[in-house]
Amino acid sequence: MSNLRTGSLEYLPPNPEGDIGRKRQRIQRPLPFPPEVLERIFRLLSHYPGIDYGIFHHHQIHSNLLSCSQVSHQWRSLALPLIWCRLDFWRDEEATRSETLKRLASFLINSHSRAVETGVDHLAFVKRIDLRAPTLRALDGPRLPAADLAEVALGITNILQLLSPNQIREIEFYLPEWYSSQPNVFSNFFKTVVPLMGNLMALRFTGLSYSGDDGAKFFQQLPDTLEKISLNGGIGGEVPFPLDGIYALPKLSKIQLSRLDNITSLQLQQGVRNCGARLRELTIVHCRLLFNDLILETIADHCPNLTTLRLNVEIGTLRPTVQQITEHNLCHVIDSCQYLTLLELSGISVLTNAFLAHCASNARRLRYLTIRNAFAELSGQGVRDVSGWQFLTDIFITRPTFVDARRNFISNYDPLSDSCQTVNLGPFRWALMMCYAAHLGRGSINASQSHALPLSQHPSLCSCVAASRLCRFFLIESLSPSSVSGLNRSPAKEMLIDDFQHRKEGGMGLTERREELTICLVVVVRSHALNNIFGQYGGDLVGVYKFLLRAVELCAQP
Amino acid sequence: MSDPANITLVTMDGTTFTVPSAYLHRSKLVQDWLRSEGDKQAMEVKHVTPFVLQGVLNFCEIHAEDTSEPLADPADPTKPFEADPRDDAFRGMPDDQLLQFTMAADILQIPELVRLTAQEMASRIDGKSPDQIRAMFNPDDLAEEDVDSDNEMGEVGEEGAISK
Repeated sequence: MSNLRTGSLEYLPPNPEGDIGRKRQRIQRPLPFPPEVLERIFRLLSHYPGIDYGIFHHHQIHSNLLSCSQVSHQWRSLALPLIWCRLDFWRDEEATRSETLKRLASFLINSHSRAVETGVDHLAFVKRIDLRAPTLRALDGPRLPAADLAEVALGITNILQLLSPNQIREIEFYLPEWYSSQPNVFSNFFKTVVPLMGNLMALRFTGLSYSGDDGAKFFQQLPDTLEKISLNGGIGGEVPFPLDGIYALPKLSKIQLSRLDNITSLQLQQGVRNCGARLRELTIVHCRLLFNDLILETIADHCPNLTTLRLNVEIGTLRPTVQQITEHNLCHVIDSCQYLTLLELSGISVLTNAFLAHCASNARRLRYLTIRNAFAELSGQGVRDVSGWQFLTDIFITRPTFVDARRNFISNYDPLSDSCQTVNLGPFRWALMMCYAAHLGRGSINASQSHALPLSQHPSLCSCVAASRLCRFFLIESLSPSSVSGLNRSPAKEMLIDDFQHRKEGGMGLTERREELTICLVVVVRSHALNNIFGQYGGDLVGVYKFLLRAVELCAQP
Repeated sequence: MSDPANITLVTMDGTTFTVPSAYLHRSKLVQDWLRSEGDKQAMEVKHVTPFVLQGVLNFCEIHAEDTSEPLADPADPTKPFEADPRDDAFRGMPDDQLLQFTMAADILQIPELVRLTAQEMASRIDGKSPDQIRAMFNPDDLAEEDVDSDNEMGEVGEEGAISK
């Protein structure tokens, strides 16, 4: 760590005894990893390369966690529970073979019977089960013949029966459209699962509209321990039984409702009232009757602890959703739900700069703001007071991918346009993305390009600076005020210069002039008062965007 | 403590560092110590070498005036996060040093540093074989674990057969 320097720290050299101690320390064995630290690392590893694995996949690809389980006793004892926590009967064709299921059952029985001897009972690690449609047919292949289907279903049921009562914390069901045509094959799933879920905390159920009587009975037996529920009606959208009972679950605090067309506004209002202050997260995705002011008013009046609100309307779908939402009530939610940290609005047609301005000045806990499929009325123009966004870290505003500024459908819609969300611009990305949206909104790009493009493809930016350097450029502003005010002594400043020097040598460096410009940006941001930037560089988000563009262009000059 | 604006930390070998207390406002260990034993002259930081403590304090200095909300302790790094370029020094660090910083972050209970070092450790483990991981982080455990490890490998072979 040669470039971490003592800097302003007052450093007293060690005494002779200390020197000896230090030498001793150098030759000492390293301390064993604290288990909690190792477990944190393993939990991060379960996201490499971004897929939440279950046991089949861990073993098939020999995952990072599986490698870790073979490093040492300690690593093994911490990795195995993570590897075996999820039985995923869906990932691939392998999990649909009855031979595989029999072998797994045999392995689990063997592990359980030798648990005293080995100290490991793999069965005990299972906390989550996934039963999804691909289980019941080969992925990307034809549906299994009925006889094979029955055998696979039996294999899965046999494994589930090995688990202890109340063992499962999470369940995911994903029923296929043809579920109702094979009730005898699958009924046992539900009968087997119900005794396991006395301590269930999270349920995700897709395909409710196909679940029939099995689903109705299942939902009558949900335990009081449930905290999170995600319900998706599937293509049908009409659930054949009432869901009102879920709102009475005493610990339920996170609700997601997707494509449930026969839940009425009145039912959800009552449900939201029942949940009241314990409701933390509410997501509504394309439910035909639920996008209206009455729901918003109820949320504002009864859910003061809401932290996450997602309202997603799918545009261009064959199942249009009626929107009776006004900006006034969205603002009311922002004012009333003081703990709101994530707000996602997709396809909400009423949004204008008035809402954005209110949000910028009042959403004081907001960290993540996403507005997808924003129409031309939302440009960022006139948004001057962003004092409410002191904790905001991410903002994405994108145009409809297949609707132009005049709300006409674009025939040659490019699905890649969504990749704008992957642009990595550090703390300044929010301003750039928003102002980019504003830039598009002014009509300087023709209608066929009016959907959002990756920022690196922006004609002005692309011509003047490589995307990678752009990322770096804007990330630099995150230097702390102290490191800027003490430019001559700050380690951070020295690191910055070192880094520039390194980049120069590699042909990617910034010139002296660029350094000055960069510092200028740092100074602008160090006040931590975004309003200052707004006052200094144009008055609103569009002005900041212009300023940043100019800065980048200066950077690119030889 | 004679000067409440500063705090003195003493490493295991007696090396002392005096820094502004504000630098360590994200360290739960230091904050607890200031509340309960703040009248003492210096806080001992056992198991941390001077070199590592110096690096940790530099990290704290760099982030002293960050306005982001403190992370919960213990940090819950269930998802990779976007690393701050000011912390790039941790990327080029040798594996054994990174290990020591990870431990120090845990000892001092600095969630932001725990998250950073844990993510860096995870990225280095990514794609490595068990032997490579042992070589990186746990070489001294090899002799002790040899026999057990062999047994475990055999057992894992059986597990691997599940998907074969």
